[in-house]
Amino acid sequence: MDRARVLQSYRGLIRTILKYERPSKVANWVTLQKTMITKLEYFKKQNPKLPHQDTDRQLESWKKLDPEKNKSLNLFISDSKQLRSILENDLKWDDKIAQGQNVDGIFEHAFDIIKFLDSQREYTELVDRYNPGSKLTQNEKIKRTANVVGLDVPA
Amino acid sequence: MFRSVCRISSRMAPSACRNIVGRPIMASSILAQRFYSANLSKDQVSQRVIDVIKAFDKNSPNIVNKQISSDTQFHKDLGLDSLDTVELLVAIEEEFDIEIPDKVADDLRSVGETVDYIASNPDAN
Repeated sequence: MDRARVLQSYRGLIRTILKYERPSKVANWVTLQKTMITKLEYFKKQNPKLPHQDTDRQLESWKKLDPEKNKSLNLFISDSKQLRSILENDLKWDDKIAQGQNVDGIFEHAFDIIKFLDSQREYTELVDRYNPGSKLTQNEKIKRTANVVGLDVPA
Repeated sequence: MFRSVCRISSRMAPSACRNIVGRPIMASSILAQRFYSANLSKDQVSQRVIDVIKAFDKNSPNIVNKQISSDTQFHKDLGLDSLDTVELLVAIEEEFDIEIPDKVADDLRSVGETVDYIASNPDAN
């Protein structure tokens, strides 16, 4: 009984955390990818005399990485070990059950977390949807504003 | 009046506006999805499942080198415990854009069973 409930809440948590963290994770990796490529290329230009097989290999792998499609990034949460360790060590199931304590509270808490994260994600999505311009850069905003009255920003 | 608002916002964010105004676009995308899911063959499903499993290298790095077939069992052959299996199944759910009910998910123990379930699920794509 409890095993099924544990698995159920763990599954719920993983599902929710995965959906919750994905957009920011992908964005972070896109930034990291850009930084690394720039850094490596700069390093190559700075030291033209060194052999660059290793740098080239790194560059190649960074360029190949597609954070939006990469399965390890998109389908698995980044730190499941922490969640596991909470479940296995911090909750102290066995002690609580041995002492005859009620463990329902823990499950309730887990489901509360799931609900909170889901609602939070949905809220962010709605805010984004209803404020379509909020994520644009200043230059893009100016360009589009000029476009509204039929003008083009000089290139 | 609303049309002009939408015209502006469609310039701002075509993806956001599509859900509000673009009814023909939406309808065609649903149609396309249906066609796609109807074409999902078992070979495709198992290939994608295996790709997902290979991407799951956090806890057991030896998975990558293993030969994965439809007989492969999560626990016995891949050395995943119940929590790892949950994580893997959630990843597979995400890959196919479905949600496996708890009761079914607890009974999925091998790659073959998972592939069968996904192939039988009309929502999978």
